[in-house]
Amino acid sequence: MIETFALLGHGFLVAATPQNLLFCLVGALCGTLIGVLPGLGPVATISLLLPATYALDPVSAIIMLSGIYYGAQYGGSTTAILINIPGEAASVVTAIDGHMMARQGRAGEALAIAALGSFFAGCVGTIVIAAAGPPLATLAQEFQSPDYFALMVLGLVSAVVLANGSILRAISMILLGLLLGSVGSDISSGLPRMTMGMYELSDGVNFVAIAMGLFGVAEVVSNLESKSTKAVEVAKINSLLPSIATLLSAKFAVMRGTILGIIFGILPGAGATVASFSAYALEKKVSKDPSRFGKGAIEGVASPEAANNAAAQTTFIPLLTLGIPTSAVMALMVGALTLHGITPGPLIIEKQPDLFWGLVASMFIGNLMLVVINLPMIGIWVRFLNIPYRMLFLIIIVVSAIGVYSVNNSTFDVYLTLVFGVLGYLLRKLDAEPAPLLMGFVLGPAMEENMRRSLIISQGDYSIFIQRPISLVLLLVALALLASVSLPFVKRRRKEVFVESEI
Amino acid sequence: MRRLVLRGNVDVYSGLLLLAISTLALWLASSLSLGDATEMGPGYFPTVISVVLGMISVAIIVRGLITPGQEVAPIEIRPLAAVIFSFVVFALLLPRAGLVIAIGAQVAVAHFGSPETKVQESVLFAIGLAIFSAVLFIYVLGIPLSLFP
Repeated sequence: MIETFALLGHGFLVAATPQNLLFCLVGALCGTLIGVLPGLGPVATISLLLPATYALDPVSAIIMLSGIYYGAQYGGSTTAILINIPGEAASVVTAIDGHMMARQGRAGEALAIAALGSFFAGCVGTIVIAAAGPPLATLAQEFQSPDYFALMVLGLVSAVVLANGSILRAISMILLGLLLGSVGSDISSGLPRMTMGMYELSDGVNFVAIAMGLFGVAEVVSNLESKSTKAVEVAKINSLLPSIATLLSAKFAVMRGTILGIIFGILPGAGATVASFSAYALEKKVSKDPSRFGKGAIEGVASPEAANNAAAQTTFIPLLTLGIPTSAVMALMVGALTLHGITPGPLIIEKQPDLFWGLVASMFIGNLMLVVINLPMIGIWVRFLNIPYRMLFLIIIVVSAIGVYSVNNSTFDVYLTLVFGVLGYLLRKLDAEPAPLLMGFVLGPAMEENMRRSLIISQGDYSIFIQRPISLVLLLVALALLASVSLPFVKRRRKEVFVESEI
Repeated sequence: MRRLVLRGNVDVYSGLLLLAISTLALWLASSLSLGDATEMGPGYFPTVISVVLGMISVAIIVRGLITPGQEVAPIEIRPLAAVIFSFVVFALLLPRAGLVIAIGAQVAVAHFGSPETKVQESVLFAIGLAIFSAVLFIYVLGIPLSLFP
């Protein structure tokens, strides 16, 4: 316990250097901005900014990129409350009661509760990372190749379970990602494989090109198809000070949301969006008068906003302790670390204490910055709400083209981005979510390596994966998850959740 | 606005797309040595994955043919074509004509991707983006690129 505080203190020293403070602020500002802007999400933004972080030192890079992610959770609620359009998927439910409050002239109150609730949840979530990270990582050091293989299978299966739409299509997206991950050099012989003779592919497919193409470029094309919204009416903001009565009634909702968010953040595949939906559903259930929901109930704002922010923090736990990304954003973090030559895994806390504790400390600082950025400065963000997409998309495509070029100084990567952009666009049209693809791509090489190593140990005997207790348990959990989504009850429930999330 | 409407449901098309990709992958992997489970060759993992992907894509196609399923949303040609050409123009011009012209040309092509763009705005954005990229990528990040031909 005392040791944790000492390490956390060290983390604050790392996070409080002028450079890291600056990048924490840049991340928080960027995050708020893209959270406010509908049509630009954290996944696309982080892919766009990956090349720019290449020049930073790894700690600053991760601090900034994480700031974008949790900052977007703050910004998303602003748009949801003021104009009834969720800036982020995780703020969809916030719009229901939040915008109703705004129409009743209580916009300031809703914004204040959302920001303060997010702050509370963000801090608690960060404490959970600091407390649970090191013991989990120590536990994970017991893992051997077969266990790692099983863990990755479990990670990928969870991505399938929680992906939107058809399960078969989600599985095929993962396999596609694994195939793309196998392009490059063979691990043991070092010979090029699956490169179609292109020497540019001999180091593998450029991660930045895949991420930018699938999420940045593809999103631009789909967004250009939909008619842009006309200048929107922004609800007026009166006093930002919530009344004591409001604070009291929001208090328990924030706590419930935080707990739910922490749990959903750690679970593979769930993340901030699912957490906020579940929090809203829970509030409705525990409320004495459920009919108030949809008519401006403060709990309907407080709980989901706390939940999505808590989840945005704890979703870092599987990444930093096991090296397993549980969502597209976390897969991007793996990419960012890999660009700097760091492989996420259980050794990261021990070998890179600056990175882990610096990041944790920066999350406290970042959350504090975000409250200031989002409450007193709310008027500035409201002005960004009316930036039309016809301007935004020009920025996105130019920055992605020059950005991806800058990674290897190669126009080949620009064409590659385009190929993945078109692929991502087609996949969207065909109702296949590309997020599992990215996770397959990121986990593929390590998964193959661990499988090969396990089978060398066992001399070709596949039963090694069920002989070791850890890998057996992990594989059984994966199997149970896969079986459970095939059950009619879960299937129906899963559909409901996703249908709601599309509104 | 010109649109490409695909008849039939999403399963058939996504299955066909995946089948094509897995066939290509299988063909690429076929020249690699497979090895055996004890000592896997470079081709083992890609081959297994492409075979499984191929089987799943067939299953998806079959499901698409026997169940009604969801229709494919129409594909609008203009934004797609404009974005594709804008990238191609950028990649072609960048090494030959320098950053400024490449960005100008990319914005010019992309301008036609949306009916809502305005010429004056796009010109201003092209200039702004060229300056921004020059400062960030050439001066700050030190990418070896020339600004002009």
